[in-house]
Order: sequence, then structure tokens, then C-alpha cells
Amino acid sequence: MKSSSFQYSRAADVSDAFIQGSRSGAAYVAGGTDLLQLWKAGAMAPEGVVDISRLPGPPPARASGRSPTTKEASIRPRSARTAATSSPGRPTGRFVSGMP
Amino acid sequence: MSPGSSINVSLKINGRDHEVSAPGCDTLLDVLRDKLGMTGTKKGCDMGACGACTVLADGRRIKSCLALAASYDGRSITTIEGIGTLDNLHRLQAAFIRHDALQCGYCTPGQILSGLALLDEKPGDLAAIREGMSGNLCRCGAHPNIVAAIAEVAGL
Repeated sequence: MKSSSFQYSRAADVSDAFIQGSRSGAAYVAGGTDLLQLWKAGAMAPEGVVDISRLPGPPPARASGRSPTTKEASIRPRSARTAATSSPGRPTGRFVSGMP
Repeated sequence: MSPGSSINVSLKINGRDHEVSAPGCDTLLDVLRDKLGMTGTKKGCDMGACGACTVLADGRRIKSCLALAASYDGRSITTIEGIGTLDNLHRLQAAFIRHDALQCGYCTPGQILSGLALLDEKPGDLAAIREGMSGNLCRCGAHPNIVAAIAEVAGL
């Protein structure tokens, strides 16, 4: 069940995102597939949600722009971890795999 | 602005402009169904697992139950209401009928929208179609026929 409502705002740029995101009870939303599930389940109850989906990000690794499939999404964390442990000089985390 | 207060959202849905006032926490799915009366898009799990709520945002498939309507302000949305007509079905819809790719039909709007986006992604073989449609569940078990219908339209 949805635990509560929240206020929506859109970050104008990266520094605005940091300012808005530092407020008490704030949470970021980009794609929404993580936060909204947790919010609906009552596991997260943000007071304010800061939309960063329109901020410029690193260029996607994949040229086609298609959505990752379920299988690709499920193997992403492991490949990111592998990259992090095998080549310490590389950037780690979700940006490695081309998420927006 | 207090939490939960409404904001104005502009959506171009199936080529038509719509202005809605909705709380910032409303999902695109709830706005489509409850504010705009476009009930072709279905609510299944409401948690992003089943794909019944799939719509296209600027041609890319998304699960509208996990999309905040406010995030899609100014964007072009395609729903099942914008695909084909009773007299002139889209060829993917016609292929679904030919291949018996549904039983109860509840997941079908999402299957069609997801299938359309997948066709744009140019799947190379049946395995790519199965993989590409893995986010859309059919509890009647019509998956083999859904894959066959998409494969026919893809020319595979």
C-alpha cells in the first residue's frame, strides 16, 4: 500500500539537484522503477521526490537506445561488480552499464 | 506547495494534447485510467512486474505504473487506444488474432505496445523476441503464440 503522498519537483540542473536532494525527506527519482516500488510497498516514504530524469547524463554505452531486457537488467549488478574488482581504474556503479 | 498538492501536466496522448491536474505522486497509469478515462491500459500488479500497463513514451516502452505522470510532462505517449481501429486493426493486432495470442485478453494491450516497440528494436530471431517480451506476463500462457505473432510481423 502507498504509505503517503509526496511533493514532486524537477531539478533544473545538477547543482539544483544536490540542493533539493539534501533536504530532509527528499529522494531522487529518475526512471522510477526502484523508488516507486519501494514507495508503494511502504518501504520508503519520501516527503519530496526530486526528478533528475531530464538532467544530462553520461553518454549511453549502447547506441540503439532500446530498453534493457529483464535478463540484461538482472545481470547488470554482477557485471558492474566484476568490472569494479577486476579493473580498479574503471568507473564503477550503474553508469558503467549505460543506465540513464 | 504542500505534499500531495496537484500540479499541471501536459501530455500528448496518441497525438492529442491533454492537460491534467494531478498530485505529483500520481502514476502515469492512474492518470491515464482515472483522470482521462483511457482504460485500455491495464493495471495488473501495479509494481512493474507484469507489463500489463506498458505504454510508449516517445516510442520507447515503459511501465506506466512505475512512471510518475509529472515526469512525462510534455512527452508523447502512445496507448492501445492509439493503435488500430475496430475496422482497421494494426497488423500486429491482426497477427495476434490469427495466432490466437490471447485468451482472457487482459495483458494484450501491454503485449501489443511492448511488441510494437520490440519490432522497432529489430529482433533477429525467436529467442530475441522471447527475451524482448520477457517483461510482459500472460497468465493464460499464450506466450508461444504471442512470440509467433510478433515473429510473423517481423518477417521471421
